[in-house]
Amino acid sequence: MSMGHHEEEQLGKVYDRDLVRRLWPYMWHHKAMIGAALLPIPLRLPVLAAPAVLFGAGLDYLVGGEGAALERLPDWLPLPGFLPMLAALALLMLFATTTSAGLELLRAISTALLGQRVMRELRQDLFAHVQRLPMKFFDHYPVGRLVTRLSNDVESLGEAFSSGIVMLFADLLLMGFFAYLLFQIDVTLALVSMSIVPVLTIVAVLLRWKAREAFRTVRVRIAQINGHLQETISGMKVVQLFAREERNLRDFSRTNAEHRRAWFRSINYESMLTAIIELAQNLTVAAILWFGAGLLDAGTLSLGTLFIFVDWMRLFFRPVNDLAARYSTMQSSMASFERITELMETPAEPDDGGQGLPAGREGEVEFDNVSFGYGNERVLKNVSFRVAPGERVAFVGATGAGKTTVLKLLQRLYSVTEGTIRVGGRDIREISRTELRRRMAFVLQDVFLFRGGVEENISLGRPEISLDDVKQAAATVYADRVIERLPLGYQEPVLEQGVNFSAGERQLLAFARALAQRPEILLLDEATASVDTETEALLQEAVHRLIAGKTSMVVAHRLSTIQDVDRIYVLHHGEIREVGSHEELLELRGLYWRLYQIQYAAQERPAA
Amino acid sequence: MQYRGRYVLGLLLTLAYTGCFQLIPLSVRAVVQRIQAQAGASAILDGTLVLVAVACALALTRISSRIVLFRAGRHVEFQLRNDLFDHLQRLPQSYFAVNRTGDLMSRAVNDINSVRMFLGMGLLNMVQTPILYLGAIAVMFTIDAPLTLCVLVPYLLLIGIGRVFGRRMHQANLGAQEQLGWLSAVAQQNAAGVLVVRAYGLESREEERFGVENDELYERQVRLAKINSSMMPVMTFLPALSMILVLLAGGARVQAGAVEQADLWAFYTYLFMLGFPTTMLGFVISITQRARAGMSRLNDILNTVPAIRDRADRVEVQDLAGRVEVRDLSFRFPGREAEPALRGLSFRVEPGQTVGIVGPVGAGKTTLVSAIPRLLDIEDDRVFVDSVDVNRLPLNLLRSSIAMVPQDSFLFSTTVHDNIAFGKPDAELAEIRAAAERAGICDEIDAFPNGFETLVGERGVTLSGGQRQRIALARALLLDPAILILDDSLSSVDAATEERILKELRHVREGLTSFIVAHRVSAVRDADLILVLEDGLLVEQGRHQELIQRDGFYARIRRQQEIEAEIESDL
Repeated sequence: MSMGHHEEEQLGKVYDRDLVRRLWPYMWHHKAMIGAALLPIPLRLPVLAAPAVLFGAGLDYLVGGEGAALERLPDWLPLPGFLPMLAALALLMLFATTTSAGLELLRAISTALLGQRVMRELRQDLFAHVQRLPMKFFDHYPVGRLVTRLSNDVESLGEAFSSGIVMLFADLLLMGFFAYLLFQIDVTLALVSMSIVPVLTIVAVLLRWKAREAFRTVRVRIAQINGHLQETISGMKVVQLFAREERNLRDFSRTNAEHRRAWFRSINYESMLTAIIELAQNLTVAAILWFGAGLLDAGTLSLGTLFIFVDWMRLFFRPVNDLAARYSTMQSSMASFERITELMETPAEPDDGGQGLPAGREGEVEFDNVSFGYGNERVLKNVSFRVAPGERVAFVGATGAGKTTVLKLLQRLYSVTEGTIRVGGRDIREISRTELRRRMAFVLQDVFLFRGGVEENISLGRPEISLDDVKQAAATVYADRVIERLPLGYQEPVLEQGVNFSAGERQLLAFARALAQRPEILLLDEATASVDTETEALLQEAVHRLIAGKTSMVVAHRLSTIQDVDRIYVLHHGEIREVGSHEELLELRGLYWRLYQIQYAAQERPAA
Repeated sequence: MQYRGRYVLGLLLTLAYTGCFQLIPLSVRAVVQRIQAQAGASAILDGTLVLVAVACALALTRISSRIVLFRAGRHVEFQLRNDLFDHLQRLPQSYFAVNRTGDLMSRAVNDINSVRMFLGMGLLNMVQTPILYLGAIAVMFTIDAPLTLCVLVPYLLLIGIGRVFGRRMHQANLGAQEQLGWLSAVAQQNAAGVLVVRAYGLESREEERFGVENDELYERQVRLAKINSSMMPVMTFLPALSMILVLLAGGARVQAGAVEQADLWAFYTYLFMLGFPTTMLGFVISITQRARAGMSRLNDILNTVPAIRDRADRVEVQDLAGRVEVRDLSFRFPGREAEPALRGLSFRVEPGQTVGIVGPVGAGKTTLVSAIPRLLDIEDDRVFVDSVDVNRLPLNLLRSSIAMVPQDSFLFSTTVHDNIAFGKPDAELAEIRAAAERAGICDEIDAFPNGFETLVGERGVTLSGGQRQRIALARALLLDPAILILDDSLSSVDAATEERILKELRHVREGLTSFIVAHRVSAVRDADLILVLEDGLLVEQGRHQELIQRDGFYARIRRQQEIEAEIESDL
């Protein structure tokens, strides 16, 4: 099994002008925080440099620190005399390090806050955008990928803010500052010690580049490993049935070994890089000591100054290593941002007309020559019908006849290809989507329950629906029988996807939910799942009470459910083939009659 | 532990590294001493060259110790992942019914990763830090004991603080991870229930819900970030305190004539060098804890004993003819003991016979046919092939003698060719074509952009349900089995095609025992034995005519399907 490329593998450009432009608003929103993160960096420079100066001064002071005052003291008390000077230096060092730690804390916390705030905003925007994407988007986009965008990719982008942009600035500033200081001490010594920097930079860039190549391979391999594993677990039955375990393990092991090998390369480069930077640092110290010794002899430099020089050199070197790491962070952040942008740029549903439903005519539905297809194939062909307020109509037909599509189009979950749908005499394209959907209640074929309580699943968290309303709705459709048996009643928790309820129970809850919303139009897509005879009877009765007295459009699978509706439309291959009441259609002895025969045959119980 | 040798070598190299590490400040001190003593250029040069040599040795031992240790970690990771994969492949189907793919995947990915983190970075630091400390303290002691004791005081604090931070960081980390999980669950639920969300206009409620979880995540992440961010300044502040002590107390010692300035420089260097490993301490503690948790979760999988494997009392058989007998077979899925999937089934099939199995959804048809190739762990002496209990047959022989087309017609993301050749990877193209031909899919495959080399799945051609089923059928037909099991394998192809394929299969099936699970009566009409299952019970059995005469369930669904067919043909 060869797993090819996943989009997660791509590494982004470090700098992409379009992306940076899109990032700009987020940066602008948090400009205060960016300021708070950047400000401590230059402020910290002097206190970062100070301890070395103070320590060096101390060293020098010790050389010449034999004062007359010392002579007077007994031998066993070696402290005073020079102590005030050393104490003053130590106190200053304490002040400098405390200030430095304080500023660093400020920088670290504001940087972290900045990153987290951007992430929170971005996540919320992304989620809100997804809420506005057309239904057809969800037909193709895997749920898992969506979750990855919201979690991993947003996180990776947040890092660009926290450790990328701010720290990049800090690193460059630090290097510049200490380079300047080193030159201030002694130009020759600075030149000598920095002569290694260009070499080091080249080596570091080269190794980083190699390490990145290796790391890219690692990502490809791990994606393959996980893909292979995922497939094997999902297809385990086939693997075992065809006795492919051994060969499968061999294939897996091969990818696994390639992954290991890619890591080996990455380990080589990373280890070399850190060791070489350490080596460069130590060699520089050696060079400083050697050249410094000469200067010391010449009297231009003191031991303390030499110490200062070595310590500043160490501070100068620190960002060299970090800079290379920042590059990788920025790169993967940009790749994540690119994927997020792609999702953000998926066009949302077109704007609706924003109008309300004409008062008094809310329950009127008209399909005028409507055609529709999900892809190239047309699911509905020139469908026209009209439902008057208070009428109850049903749609029947074989699987794939287009029944459910009628309801989805009416809700504008999808847009018609041709023709017009009117509610209350107004084209639904002119009506606000929220308003349109709020006036209808749609009982879906697959009942979806949210994690939360039973009450919340019925009221859907709408404040205007009280617990009494919920109880009344539940009682009307017999859902109260189910709910009252639960230990916590209406507060009983619903587990993910309602797994703690049976198929029949879930449907009753869905009925109660639809009823509690007090819709003008009720849309019901009857479930096909088989339930036991008793539940079946209960469900049928519940449907009757659900649609009693309100404009209803029912997609029926059990013809017995709909025998007393006002009109039945028989759909066949996307067209309305027969219309009439149950009796009229039976008399016609056409499609409906045959469908009825099938169910009759199925329901008939043999005489035991 | 087959990588012990590598670890020992890695540890020795780490020891060498820490040795060189101790020598650096000493060499610096030697040079400074010479400079101070004005020992002359050649003496200073010698000292400097020693420093250069030590620095080179340090770099070499650093590279080699890390390479050896980190590689060893990757070796263990490799082995662990392979073992896990191997083990998963041996677990019965019922295990996968209980343990979801997502959960198993997260263990295989995240838990292996936490164990590996420990084996590389964690172990290195766990070994290196104490040695570094001991070595540095020893050297500093030889220079000046009182000063050493004095400057180490802040380091004791550092270790304590490191532990506290480590623990808090670990907790904050878990809290943030957990919340990220919740947030993902909300997003997941939103996408899965998108139809309800739209139909009831719940978008703004969902945004609010997400917002609540998002804010909570923010809070937790900030808590974690605050701990992380405050750790660094604290951890650099304490070594700085030590350096102040070096200046203060060291100054006194210099004055007392106990040490030289060069010694203070050396102390300064040691303290600076110990700073980083100390800051790593908290990190090491946290990854050790994570690794322990990860390993225990991995052990949950690895310690599950594969119930289905070759047994000691296995009967060595060379070849199976295909006689199948089932005696009083009952089966309950683990976790669903209350509702038996099969209840006391018995029947017998001679080699070459065809068995049709019908019944409503959930009647136990798939469970029954899965028991024959031992996909499920069934009791002894219930299912026999060629009069031998399947539990005592060599597993490999049993499964390679059975070709089964499972209900969900799972295909792998590889080429059509490799999918068909799944059970016989070295099959000739001609054989593969013949199998595809018999499954009635050959022409359609030829029409794909790359023919048999076309990729299946997301990145390749999207197949219809019927095409998938027929490729799965071809995959089974390529084998040369004694028993063929079609588990509702043609449900997505239309009745006419199903009939044509079954007719084509008739002469293939000659001589092999076939089980055909179907929902269309037409598919099983000619079977030698038709089994009707309802609710795990065998309610009717016999030939087509006999069952029609009984006028029971079978007769009923047959009538229903005839009318359905009439409607379809009425176009």
